[in-house]
Amino acid sequence: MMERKGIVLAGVVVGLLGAALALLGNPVNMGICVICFLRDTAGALGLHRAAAVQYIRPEIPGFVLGAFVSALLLKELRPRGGSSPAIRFLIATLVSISALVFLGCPLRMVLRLAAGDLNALWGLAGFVAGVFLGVVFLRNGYSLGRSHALAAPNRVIALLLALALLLLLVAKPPFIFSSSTGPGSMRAAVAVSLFAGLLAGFVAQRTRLCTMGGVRDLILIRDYHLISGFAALFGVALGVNIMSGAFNLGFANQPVAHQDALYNLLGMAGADLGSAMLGGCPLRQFILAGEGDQDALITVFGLFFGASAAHNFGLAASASGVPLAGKAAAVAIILVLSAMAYAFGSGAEISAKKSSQEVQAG
Amino acid sequence: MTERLTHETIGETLVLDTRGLSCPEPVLATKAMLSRMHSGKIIVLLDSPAARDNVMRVARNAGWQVTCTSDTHEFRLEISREAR
Repeated sequence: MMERKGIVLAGVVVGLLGAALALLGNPVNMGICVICFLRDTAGALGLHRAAAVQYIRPEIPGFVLGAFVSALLLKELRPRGGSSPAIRFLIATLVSISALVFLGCPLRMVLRLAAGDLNALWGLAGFVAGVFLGVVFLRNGYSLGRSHALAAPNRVIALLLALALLLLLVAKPPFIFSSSTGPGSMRAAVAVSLFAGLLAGFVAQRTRLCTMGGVRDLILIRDYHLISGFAALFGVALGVNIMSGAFNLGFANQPVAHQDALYNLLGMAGADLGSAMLGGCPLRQFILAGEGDQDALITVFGLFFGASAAHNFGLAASASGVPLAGKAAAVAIILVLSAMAYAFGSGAEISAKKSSQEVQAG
Repeated sequence: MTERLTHETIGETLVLDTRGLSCPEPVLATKAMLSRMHSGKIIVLLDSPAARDNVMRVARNAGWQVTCTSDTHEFRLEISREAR
């Protein structure tokens, strides 16, 4: 079936890019990590002071540009918004902080596993648990409510912001920070990163690739579609890592990772409970923002804010472990997200009406 | 919500309006409704291509016939199955 081939192909492309970017200069096991790249970009803009993670990652504007081009070609640019924007911002903030306790978004969790980092197994357990909890709320009627069509200029806001980031990257004005050591100093060439981001954004828009969605649909509606892309992504990244010698099985000495099992699990659980509440993983939010979805763009702003807050407030983990405040945050985030999901337990009334007449869409 | 409306379908077509809802809500609502019907027809209104694809795939996998008509950014799915 064409649709199935498409999603598998998207998984193959993103898995290949994720593994290849790490070989081409991005940090090891971090070929693509949406949250880490947002954190680096926030640092470059001076929004946090962690000197080791400051760089405008070209993949970030690339995701948006790729999704925009694909949506333009498919006539799927849809300026929409208005579905509980402030709460989306807050959920996204918590998703970012939680992901930085684990040290990666769901996509990086898969790439870490594919490189042999067994700490990510705890992340995987948390990922499934977080999505499962999200599914429980969804089954009980959780909803942030309906979005509405918005004025046409909204369709290009994410695009213009992405272009502005690229301009700052190329022009290098003095107020932009740039790491000289640490993960922020490890980068593939700008053109390579930008092209990779573009390609990932393009295929992810076409196929609706979403890491969280794969597990969610499997649990919620027994649908294997998205998870087949997820599996392909893992398989291809694993293959590339084994062939290139980058595969290193074990818990110890894994790059940009810590060995605190409980907080690897809780960090990813919070990130994916939040992603389930937002309707998509961080990568998916970029894709939707590129399509003109203002709720997704607000979500991206929240992810960006959360990534900055995680470092400003000393919540983010590092290779040496999770700070006490980060541990407390990981637990609190799951509780707060659960309370939010409970509060929005029957947020949208799905109207169903009977009709013996033809009902036109619109 | 959907539960109390699904019993009123005999002889008429039920229209499920999922416009504006984000995934997976449209597919959940459709699935909940189809699971209570053995045959017949419903109409689902959507405005997201991703939700349209998901609803079509899930309905077809469950043995229903689906036809889609679109009006720029909105979609109307007719989901039906004959009584066996």
